[in-house]
Amino acid sequence: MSTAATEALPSHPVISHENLLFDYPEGDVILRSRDSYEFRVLNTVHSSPILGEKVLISPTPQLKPTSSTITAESDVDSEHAANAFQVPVVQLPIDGAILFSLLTYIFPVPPVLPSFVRQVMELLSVAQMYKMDAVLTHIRNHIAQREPPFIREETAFLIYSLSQKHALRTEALKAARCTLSFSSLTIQNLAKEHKLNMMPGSYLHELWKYHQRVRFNLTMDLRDFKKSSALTVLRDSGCKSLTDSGLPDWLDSYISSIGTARVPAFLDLADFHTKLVEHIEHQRSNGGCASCLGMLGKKIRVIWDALTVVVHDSIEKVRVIHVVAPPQGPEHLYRLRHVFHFLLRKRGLKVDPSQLSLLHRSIQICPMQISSSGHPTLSISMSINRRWLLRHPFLGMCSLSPSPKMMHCPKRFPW
Amino acid sequence: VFSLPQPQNDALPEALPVVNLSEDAETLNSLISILYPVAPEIPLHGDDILSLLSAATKYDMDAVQSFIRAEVSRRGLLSSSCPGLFHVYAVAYSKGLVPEMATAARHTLGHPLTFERLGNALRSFKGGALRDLADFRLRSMGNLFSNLKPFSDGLQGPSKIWVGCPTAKVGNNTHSLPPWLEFLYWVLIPAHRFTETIPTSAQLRDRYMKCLQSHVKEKDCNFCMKVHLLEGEKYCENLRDISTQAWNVPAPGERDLGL
Repeated sequence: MSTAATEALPSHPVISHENLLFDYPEGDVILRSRDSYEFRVLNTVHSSPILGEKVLISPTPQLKPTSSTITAESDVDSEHAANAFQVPVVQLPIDGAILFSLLTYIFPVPPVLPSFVRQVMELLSVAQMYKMDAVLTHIRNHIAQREPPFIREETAFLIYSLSQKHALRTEALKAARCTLSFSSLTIQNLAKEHKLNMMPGSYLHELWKYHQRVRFNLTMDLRDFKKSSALTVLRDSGCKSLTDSGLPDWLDSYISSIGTARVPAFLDLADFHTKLVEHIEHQRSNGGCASCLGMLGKKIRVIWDALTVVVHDSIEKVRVIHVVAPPQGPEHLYRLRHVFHFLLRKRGLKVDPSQLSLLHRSIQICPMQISSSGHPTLSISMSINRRWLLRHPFLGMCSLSPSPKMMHCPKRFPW
Repeated sequence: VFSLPQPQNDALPEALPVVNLSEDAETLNSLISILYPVAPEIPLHGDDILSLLSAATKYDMDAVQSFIRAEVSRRGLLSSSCPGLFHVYAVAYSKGLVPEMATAARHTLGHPLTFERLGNALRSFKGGALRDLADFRLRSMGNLFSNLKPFSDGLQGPSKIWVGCPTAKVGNNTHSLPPWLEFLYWVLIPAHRFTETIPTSAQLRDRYMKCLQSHVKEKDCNFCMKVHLLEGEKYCENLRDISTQAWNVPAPGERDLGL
């Protein structure tokens, strides 16, 4: 926990979860939430470089009274009230409930984790946004102690979606792994569980790709596992139904089936036992399978341990790719100075860029087909998407110049 | 357009007013080319077409919309094959272009709705696009199933003409259908899996013909051949209607408009 700011604290804060009250009588800054809750705290510069910067650039102390939260609900004396008139106020784009919770992880008070999944994810997102690494760890540790687990079957999809939204890679990976064990991830199943609109298609696509990668990895690793020394305890088995790999067929098929229908994040030992017992039962009519019967006990534990390690490691190797929204680059404004005629109503426009970024500084000509009116337009402005300028025919037809001097289009445009 | 808030243009008092629009230049260029008496420039790429339609819709240019739609339809510019089709649906959905959304959604009935088929097109799905597409396909499948069930009834449905085929099961049920017809129906009712394809009326007729031909060839069934000659056309027409109805259930967007 980042408690640097709390060293040698003069006193304890007055806090109340119900009223979202967090007030340090000696606080030297007021943090104001999006929904206008105000929290007087000690300067939090040490816990977050970004938040610290915000405090530093905050306007000079405001001389108007702070919110009623502080003046009316806190038990402060007149001296404190006077201070409240002078400390800087920093407006933050965070809801009061989330900011309150965040402060409980920064200062030496009992941490308060929000009740709802969305709020917890927002809290993590805010801690990440303000680069509060120690606080983030503290919150994650707190979450890990929750019972039932924070990420479980009922919450995994939502948490995965919110993790992608807030770029919380750790939670995204954990939630994606959790979905492995209970979902075969088909559109049919998701529709049945009313989960189709739980996340944008791009997130769902990445989740599906993640499942695919895990499956592929598992197939490869289990194929190697079947040939590995981990199963030497079974070589020269006396089982009558051995496969080419030298393993009893029930074990071979059990291993091969892992990850085919659904990828289990955790293997079920009971399942494994059932397969073995079924095999023994099946062989009973042929005099039984003493070899496999002999596996019950230490041998089976050795195989099971080795198998679970392979599956676990195989899944661990696969990461979730954070989905980044497509860049919405600024539209650049170009001013068209003159219109000059090409043949047959085809016209080129000389462009004088009025707002040029470095990228566009070289492009001086923009063609455009406009009205066939005999009166040339004096000035037309149009916005041009930067990607458009790189497309045919502009890429090939426009002269590029490092100088901002106006240039003519060298060729006719193929319109 | 010109009623939009205008930025201050103090720096260039002699300049014409500047109207800032959110559309990109390619879209505006196409839009202007349709508005003025010059050769109209309809984009060739699906996304650009939908952006153009979206702009025309936004600025209430009904005639322009109709023109674009007619051109796009005449030149077959919007993808009707997989996976471009799913992408067109998703983009049209996000832009609220109901006709394009509905057409694309209908075309998807001819393709399985699986992650494999969607591929990268899944990335274009936003909001409730995937859910609404699934709901539409479920309704379509439900329609097919509910019409096919009475149709396949050997006692009262149109399928009773086939009762009497020598290959039909004999026993207590005197209204049994021949196995080839049962197979045809069985294939058509894939356990309400909306992710499966729904055959078009032409595909349905093809399947019927193949099943019948194979049956007649294998069993030398004069009964079924005679029924087909006498009543097959009418039967096929009914079968085609079932498919047409399933394909024509209200698509996403159309439902909201009460179409």
